[in-house]
Amino acid sequence: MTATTPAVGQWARRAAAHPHRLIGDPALIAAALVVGAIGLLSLQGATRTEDGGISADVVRQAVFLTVGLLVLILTARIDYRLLKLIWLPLLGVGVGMLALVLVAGSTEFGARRWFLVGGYSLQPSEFAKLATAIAVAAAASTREASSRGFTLLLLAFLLPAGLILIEPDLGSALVLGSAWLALMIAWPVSARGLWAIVATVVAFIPLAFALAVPGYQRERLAVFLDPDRDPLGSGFTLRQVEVALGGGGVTGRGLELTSSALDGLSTRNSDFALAQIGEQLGLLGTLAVLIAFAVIAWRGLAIAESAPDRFGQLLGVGLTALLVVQALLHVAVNVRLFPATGIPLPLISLGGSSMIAACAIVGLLLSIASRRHADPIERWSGARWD
Amino acid sequence: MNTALTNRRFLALRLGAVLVFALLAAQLARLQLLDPTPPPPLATGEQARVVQAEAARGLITDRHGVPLVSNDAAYVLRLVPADLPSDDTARRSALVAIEREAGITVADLEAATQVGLAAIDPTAPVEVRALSSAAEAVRLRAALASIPGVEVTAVPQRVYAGGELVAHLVGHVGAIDGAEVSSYLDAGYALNAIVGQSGLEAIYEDVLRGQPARRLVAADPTGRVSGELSSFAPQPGGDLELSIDLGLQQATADALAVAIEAGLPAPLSGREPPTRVAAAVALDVRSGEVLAQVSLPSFDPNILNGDDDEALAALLTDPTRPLVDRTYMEAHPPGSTFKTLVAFAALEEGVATPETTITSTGAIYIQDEFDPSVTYVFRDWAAHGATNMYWGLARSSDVYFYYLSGGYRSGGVTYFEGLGATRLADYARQIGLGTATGLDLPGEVGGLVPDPAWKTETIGDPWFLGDTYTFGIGQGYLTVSPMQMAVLAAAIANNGDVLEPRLVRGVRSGGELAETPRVVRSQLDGGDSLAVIREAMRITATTAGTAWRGQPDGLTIGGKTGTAEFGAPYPDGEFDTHGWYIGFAPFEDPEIAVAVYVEHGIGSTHAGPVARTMFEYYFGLGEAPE
Repeated sequence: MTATTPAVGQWARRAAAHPHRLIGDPALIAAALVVGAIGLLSLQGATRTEDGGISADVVRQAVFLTVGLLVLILTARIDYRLLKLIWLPLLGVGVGMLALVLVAGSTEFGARRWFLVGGYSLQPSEFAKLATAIAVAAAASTREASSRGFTLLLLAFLLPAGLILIEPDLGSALVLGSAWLALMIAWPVSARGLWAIVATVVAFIPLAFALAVPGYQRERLAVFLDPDRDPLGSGFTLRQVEVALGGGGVTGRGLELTSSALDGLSTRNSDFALAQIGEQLGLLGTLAVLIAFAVIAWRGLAIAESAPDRFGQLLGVGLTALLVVQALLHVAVNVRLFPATGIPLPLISLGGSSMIAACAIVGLLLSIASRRHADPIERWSGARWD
Repeated sequence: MNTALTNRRFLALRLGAVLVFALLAAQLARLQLLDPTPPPPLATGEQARVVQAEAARGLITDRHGVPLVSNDAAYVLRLVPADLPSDDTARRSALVAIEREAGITVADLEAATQVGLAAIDPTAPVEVRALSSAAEAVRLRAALASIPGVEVTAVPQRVYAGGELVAHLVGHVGAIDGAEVSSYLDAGYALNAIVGQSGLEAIYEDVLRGQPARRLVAADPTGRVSGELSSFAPQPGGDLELSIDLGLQQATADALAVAIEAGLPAPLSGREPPTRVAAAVALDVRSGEVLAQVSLPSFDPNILNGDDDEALAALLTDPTRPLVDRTYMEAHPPGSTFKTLVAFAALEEGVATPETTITSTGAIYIQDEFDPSVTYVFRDWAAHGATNMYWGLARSSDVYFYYLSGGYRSGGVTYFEGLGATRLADYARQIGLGTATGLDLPGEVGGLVPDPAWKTETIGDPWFLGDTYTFGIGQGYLTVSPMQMAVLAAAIANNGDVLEPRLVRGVRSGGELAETPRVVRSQLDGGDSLAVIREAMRITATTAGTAWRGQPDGLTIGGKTGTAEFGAPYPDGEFDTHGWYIGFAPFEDPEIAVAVYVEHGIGSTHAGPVARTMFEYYFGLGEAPE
């Protein structure tokens, strides 16, 4: 045989001895796959062609899922500690894309959030969120929880978050803000610092509402509080979402509905994906999705807690928060516990940027997981990067 | 590596996550199991659908409530393709019945129900014929009552009672333009909605539209409506009350028509026939309200709304371009009316005092800066002799304003230091020239205020002294609209407020008038200088001055004429001229300012009488209007 044989054999032996190195965290992968599968089934049911064939949306989503899986495998294979070295350029690219989309992006529904690239639209805020979480985690890992360090971390967050708010994309900004807060908690910022953050947020809500919240957001908020205010406009949407969930009951009305309470709602496959699953698969379906995300949250935090270094620990918290908070916000909007802000459900909602970003998050979590039990090679590579 | 603190923090994060997940799960259980929201009361297979109907469009009146645009009912025969009999034979016999009663061939009916909007939404009614009278509508409704999918209904139609007199101002409505479909759909319009296309109808579309009625209806899978679930009452559009006085508008239009004929040059072989074009504006100098705004030639607004394709084609290709409102959509050199501003700038900059005396011998002679053998001549229109500023304006001495703008220098000696083009341009811009006035109509031009930097950049030539001279008498590159000159006259009259002109005095909805606020675009310093200009304009409008034809008996006004050359010279060296007149009245406490533009004419002879007629009507002088 060739000279590579001993190496391959060595790799196989090590893989057999340490299965986590191959698949990192089986429960996390399983949960992500379950979510992705439910999403694809629901999408096919809702968009199937007249003769029951595969719809164009499903083909697109399958392409995104495939690309996402490749990204997942790639990010799981690379050593996450590499990211610690390039956090500044990553953040720079993320912020640059956000600034560029404001100047050169295409406008849809009155917001500048997308680049159009050859028939596909790219949403830079999805990647900027990821870059920001990585940057904040990297910067925090080499700094003690102090006020000077805190200023830097605050800036690294406020710059992209502000640009996202200008688009305007309140949902993405909220997700990023929550992930940053989770990172601060785990850093760990002092209890006094934590209270200061909470107090600042509370104090700025009225000001932000007056300055930064556009008219349509206020209207949505008003409708959220009183759906009968505009029973045929945006209030109508919220009512139909409730009707869809109620109509699904416990076991659902089946994947392939002839008529849906969400008919005519252009965002049914993205911003109201959970309501659609609820109508098709009932409470069992929605709880399955919710439980899958709970598993992702649980495993993500576990991976973070047992990470081999501080960067891994913080990165794990930031990435888990990005993915899970977005899912929770989506569900909250869909069950009328939060005003409509247009947040896609990760791994389910139709959309390439969101899908690929979510897969990258899962992949990076796996990368951290596969390095939590140090072995000789682990130590060697660790010494190289730390 | 994990401290007790980080361990506690991770526990907190876990607990937080568990809490939120539990809350969401509980809410899901509530919405899906314990307390599901019932669907709207629909029969099996039915769906809820939102049906929208536009509210009554707002009316437009003049300042005294005289209707200019109102709504009337027009009767149409419409088909709802989805409601026609689906069975082929039944459908065929239905269409044959319609052909017999309404005189539309079956082929045309088939086409109407299958193309355009019908192909996208078969439940949307398709208009197949406009009916000539209510009587025909009644007859057809009775005859076709038994056929499903046939509607004989009244649809609202705009009636332009103001006719040609206000055609430019009110504009017209029409179907949504292809390029604008998506923005109208976003605003909640239906594909076949009628929207404002030009003039006030377009600018005030949001106000005139109101809020459409919306009904939530139950519909079967083919879209046929079977019942109403809830409804939202329409909110009628607001009515526009214009500041226009229709009587003044009429008097102005009549006077302009006379001025056009009087000002036409003798036809000359080999030249284009002169265009019969004129325009005039009257503003309230206190509020900026537009009291009259006339552009001739005008057009019949019904041509834009009607079906007469020939008349429409003729209107669109008319060489005098009647659709262009000459009061604000085109700019021309203002001629000597601009001298009022030059005098103001000279006073403010200390270049001259009211008593500065300059002698006009009929021309000034300027030696070329580099080649003394070349001498340029800048003519005056008469030899005025020695005049101070009042008489320089009253007699409109060109030499006086050559001095004020460009100065005078001969043989290396400076005899008079002028303003210079850059300073003069600054003053012109301060009073609003070079930019749109902000009038509430679409397509306003800003005109052009030239300066040396502009000329180098745009034309590529350096700025010469001669350019400053022609600028100083309101000719050359400088162009302005009559609306801008009216704003200038109003600013002189009201002592320095450059107002934004307003055609809509207020919006009336539910009996209450929301008045349009007065907007001051900028404020000129130098009340003393403006008082000098007003006094000079008073003298100009006396029998000793050039603007005397604008002054009615029994009223003291301030006025200024302008006659600007354009085009190519005639064989005798003379040019075609635009005639201008600006003025305000009463002199003591000004209320109204006017600007008149006659495309072929002389300021004093042809534009002056129009201004006089406007003042007479406004102050109720002279002959009583018809």
